Amino acid sequence: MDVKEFLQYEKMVKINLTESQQEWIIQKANMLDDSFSSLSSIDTEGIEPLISPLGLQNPLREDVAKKSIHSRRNISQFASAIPWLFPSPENHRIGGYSFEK
Amino acid sequence: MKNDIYITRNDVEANNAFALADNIMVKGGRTTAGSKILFNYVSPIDATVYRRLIDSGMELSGKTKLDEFEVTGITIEDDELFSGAVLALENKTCKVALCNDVFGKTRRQAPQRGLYYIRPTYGTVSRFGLIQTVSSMDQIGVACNSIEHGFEALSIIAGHDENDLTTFMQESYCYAPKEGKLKIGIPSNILEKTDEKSREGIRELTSKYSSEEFELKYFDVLSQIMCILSSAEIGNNTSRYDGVKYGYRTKDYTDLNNLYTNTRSEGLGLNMKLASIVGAMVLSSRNYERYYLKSMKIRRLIKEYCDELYSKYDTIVLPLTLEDADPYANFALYALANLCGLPSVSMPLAPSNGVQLVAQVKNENVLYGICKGGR
Repeated sequence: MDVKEFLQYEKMVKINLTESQQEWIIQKANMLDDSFSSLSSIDTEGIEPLISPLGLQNPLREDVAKKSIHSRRNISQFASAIPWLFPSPENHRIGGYSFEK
Repeated sequence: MKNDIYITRNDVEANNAFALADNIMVKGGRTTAGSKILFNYVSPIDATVYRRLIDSGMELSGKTKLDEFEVTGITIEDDELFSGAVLALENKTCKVALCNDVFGKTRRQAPQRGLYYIRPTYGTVSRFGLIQTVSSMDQIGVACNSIEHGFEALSIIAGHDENDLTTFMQESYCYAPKEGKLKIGIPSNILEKTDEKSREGIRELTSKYSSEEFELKYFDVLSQIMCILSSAEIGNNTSRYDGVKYGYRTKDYTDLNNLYTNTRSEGLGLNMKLASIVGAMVLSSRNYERYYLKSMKIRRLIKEYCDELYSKYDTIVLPLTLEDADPYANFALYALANLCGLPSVSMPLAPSNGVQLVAQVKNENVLYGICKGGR
């Protein structure tokens, strides 16, 4: 983990660290990251993930990791609605009312 | 205040009292989970375990200190502080002490003071009212100075709870020591890595039973899996602490982002910050498949392996420490019970610091039987 990647994680978890804390965490995280490489030696082809020891079935779709869009950009893509309301997607129904352009 | 435990009442008879770790809720009282971020949090509910013990006629002697959200073992310094549950029992302030031992601290320390720690099967004891740390591994256990007291308390708190849908449907549990021929599995590859006293203690214990040595598979990756899955869940569970609805709120903020960031920076300790960063790292798009998803798949392999193992043995015996003092390496000794939801008991055993017995799901009676006969 380099400093740039570390700063992204720091922002993601909404924490500010002092320089000495950053150094300590980067050191620990890199040590852990190195140790995680041993997992690749285990063949898990065709194995279903186990979320909980109770063997609960996940009723939701499987997670697909992809880059997310910043909320400001997301909102800016939609037509602005009535100015005194929070901008919402076109034809978004709230309580049965449709907000049109 | 006696020796790092909180006493709320001085008029309680210790022989009929229980202590709760400070991440188990009691209505109207503060429940801090050992963290500044919940320093003023007053619980609106009673935990099911508390309610059941009170209804059985026991009294609450007090709440015990714990490491922040029970996250421990990241640095060696953590290990020097004794678990509040262990100290409460040692000071004879209560008959049993309940806590959620995820990373093995109480399991390791209890036998050093001549005590037992019973970690029941995941899903037998309700987690309603327990402040979550690692949801798929959290399980309230019982520390006690006598194994009979421990299982007596466990039979009161165990059983289905409508408020916790991850509990089994079985309404109640009755624990009795299992008698008859028991077979103990001894993982030779782990015994090689522990000290001579532990090996001697284990040999003496297993000499009273039919036993067999075997190589425990996946031992070399247990610490890694435990770390990946627990940090991902810790990061997720602590994301709710933002200073908005309850708990600590920073005085230094100008907008919502500041409020969240400064509150969490000031309110959470270094171990929690490390766990959150590592959690974000293993769940990032770059690492999700190779770490988190991979770990969950290996978890299934380990569970299936354990099912096969317990068709041959009634229980397996593990030491409580390895010769390598690194707490990260020692996670592996406690990870098996956590990852597969297995019951375990750590018991004092001279000349070693104690041993840990791990049985198949819902086989606490086997552990009870060995504890009664093993000393």
